Amino acid sequence: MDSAHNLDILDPQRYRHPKERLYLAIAVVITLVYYLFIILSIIGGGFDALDTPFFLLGFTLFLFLCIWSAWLL
Amino acid sequence: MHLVGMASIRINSVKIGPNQFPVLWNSMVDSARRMGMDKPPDMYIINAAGELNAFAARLVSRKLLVLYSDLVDALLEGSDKKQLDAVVCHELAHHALNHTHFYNWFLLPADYIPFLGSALSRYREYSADRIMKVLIKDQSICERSLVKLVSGKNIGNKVNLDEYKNQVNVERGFFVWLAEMLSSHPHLPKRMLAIKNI
Repeated sequence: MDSAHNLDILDPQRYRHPKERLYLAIAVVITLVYYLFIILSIIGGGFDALDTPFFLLGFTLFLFLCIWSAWLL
Repeated sequence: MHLVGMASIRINSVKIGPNQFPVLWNSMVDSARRMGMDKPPDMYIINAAGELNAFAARLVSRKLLVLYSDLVDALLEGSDKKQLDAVVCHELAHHALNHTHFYNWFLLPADYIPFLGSALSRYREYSADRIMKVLIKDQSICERSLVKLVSGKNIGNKVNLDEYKNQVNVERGFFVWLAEMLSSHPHLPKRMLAIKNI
């Protein structure tokens, strides 16, 4: 119970599992990278940019994140 | 499709309210208040052809809490509804922790990373279980309500909980591990053990 004045109310955030925070943070980072990649691809030459070295860089980053998240498991 | 699915539930189920199963409604409202929720979710009981489940969902700004009718039957022990309260608290916790918030739609790309989406989902279940335990307080009620999800009412009342929890040590191996890694929910014995010291 979290408050001396209101004994019934609890703070749900306090009971969030630490690993949920970790995986949520990873998901947010990956999502931002994904959207950034899409936006930059479109700005940098439309979807044609997807067969450029820039795409390979993004794909490599994607693979790295796969391995990283699997390692964290 | 999500919106249509949620709308379908609203018209094909019994909506719980002050005049419809008021004891269950008041209990849910009280639990929602204790989690700091200004407005309790809309609560429904739906027939799911014998399936034992419950879930929290969101329809734009409207929060929903759906219980499958056979699960309600399984959890009610005469006039004792503590096990049902436990499941309701678990689902309410998903709302309180923003697991159903619309921002989750923006995280869909992360689901393409192998194992990550399911790992996040599993730990969200652990978080909801922790809040359930804090509110219900009684470990045996939480465990009994969880075991009924896999065994139903009659068997669920007779399951030896200590032996069931020991399955974590018995059922091992690569494919057991892989099955859990791919699952959105942790194995139930692990969930029971995880809330033991909350």
